[in-house]
Amino acid sequence: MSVEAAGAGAPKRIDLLKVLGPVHVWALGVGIVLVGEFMGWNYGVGKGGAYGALIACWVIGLLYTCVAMIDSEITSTVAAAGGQYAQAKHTIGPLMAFNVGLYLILAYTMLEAGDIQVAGQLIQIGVGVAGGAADSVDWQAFTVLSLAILALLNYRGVFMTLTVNFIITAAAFVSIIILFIGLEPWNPGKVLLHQKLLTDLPYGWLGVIASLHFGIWYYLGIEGTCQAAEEVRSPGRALPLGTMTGMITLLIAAALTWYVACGMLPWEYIGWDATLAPLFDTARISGSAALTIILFVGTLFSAIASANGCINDAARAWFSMGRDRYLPAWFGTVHPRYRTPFRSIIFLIPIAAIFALRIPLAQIITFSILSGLLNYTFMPLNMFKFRNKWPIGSIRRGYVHPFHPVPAIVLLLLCITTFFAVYLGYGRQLLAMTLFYIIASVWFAFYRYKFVRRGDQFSMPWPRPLGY
Amino acid sequence: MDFWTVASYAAWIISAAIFLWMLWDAFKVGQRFDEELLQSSREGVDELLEHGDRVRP
Repeated sequence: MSVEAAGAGAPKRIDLLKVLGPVHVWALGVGIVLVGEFMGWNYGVGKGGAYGALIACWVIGLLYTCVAMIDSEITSTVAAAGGQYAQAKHTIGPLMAFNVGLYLILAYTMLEAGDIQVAGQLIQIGVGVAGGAADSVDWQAFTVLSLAILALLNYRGVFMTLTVNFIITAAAFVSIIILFIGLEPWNPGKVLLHQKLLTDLPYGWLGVIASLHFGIWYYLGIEGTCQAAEEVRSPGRALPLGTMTGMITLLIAAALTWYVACGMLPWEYIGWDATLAPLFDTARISGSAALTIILFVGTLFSAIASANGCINDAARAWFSMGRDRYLPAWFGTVHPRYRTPFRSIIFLIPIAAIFALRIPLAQIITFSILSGLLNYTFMPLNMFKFRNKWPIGSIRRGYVHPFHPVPAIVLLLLCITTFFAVYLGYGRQLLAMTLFYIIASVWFAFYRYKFVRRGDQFSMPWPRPLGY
Repeated sequence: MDFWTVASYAAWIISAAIFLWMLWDAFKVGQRFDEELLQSSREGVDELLEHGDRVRP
């Protein structure tokens, strides 16, 4: 018999700690995403040229604005760890919830693997640029070290984890602004050479559609703010505020990124940048040692912040599914001292490490993007169900998004278009991923569902839905 | 061995130490606490409101 459970005055229940505010929500969302400004978006330039990538930036920006609006409304009401998984459980049903939970776990774990791989390789690149012996740097050692330190941070408490994320994310964002100012945008033609470098669409409008796939990099993961729902002090205020300000931050960062990179580097180079980081390359081309150092630090911080947020989010989704018995209940445990989902954090570490050390970056990120896209496709359906079952006025909402159903319809149309864009470049991966989710759904429906706590599925204190 | 070779070995050792500590701590928690207590968190429960130390408007 355990000592702690038997003792007088022992706690009856251990919950996740409610210690977070809007700043932490911002740090979680922007922290996960901002790495996409430093690298990844540039492959869209290879598909559609510089203007194609700019159109993708705007169109996908619209997609994510719809995501942020819809998420803000539903999450301000469904204040539970697991984010969209918990939403799906309430609005649609167990099979949808299981699939959404898997989308979240795969999207964040794969992104985390990509981030730590990049962090390790950046250290090797940085040593080389500084004139050191890059060959003697084992990037895999630094990849694993990054993962270990971030996992430890997550293990020991959410407040410190997201406070650190706020500091390094803000530093990375400031580095983009410093680069923008350092390149003298008020003096066109002196440093920034848009008039000479910008060309027509090299592959026409089909290239623009293909570049939508990589436009996702500018914003991938902002929906991760929902995973903090059970740990914020005031979900109705903190989640919409953190998510919407995060989205505004990303729209500014994306525009600045495109402007400086496409004004300094030819599109043929940006589109196939082999050294991972076009913003860092932009700083190097500028000839300024200070900008080079600042952007190196900014790029490294962005990768680390993203991995940190992804560990947080993937563990919460896994924990929530364990708590509801969608996965073994052993994962649905909270650390009695640190109040974190400690077993879920530990369990996902080796999976991220294997992918980071063994699988090429482009493939890891494609897994992440596809899972993210499936999640975004679920959101309009979620929104329609939510408003139909609990119309405005029937339950208390922390935020009500305007113009419904326009954002949901726009989001659905943009998701379909982006699926086509992904199919153009990664058709086999898309089909393989779809097959994986179908097999997982069959396993859930015919085997796992019998373990699910059906009576506990509906946890929100709401009235019976309309029509039930 | 140059600095970065030594740093790479140090990174492996520190990583292993951190992972082993987390595993040891998780094992220790499993030994000391009832599984029922560790799995006792509930979705949709607002402990701030429940304990009465803060009431949202």
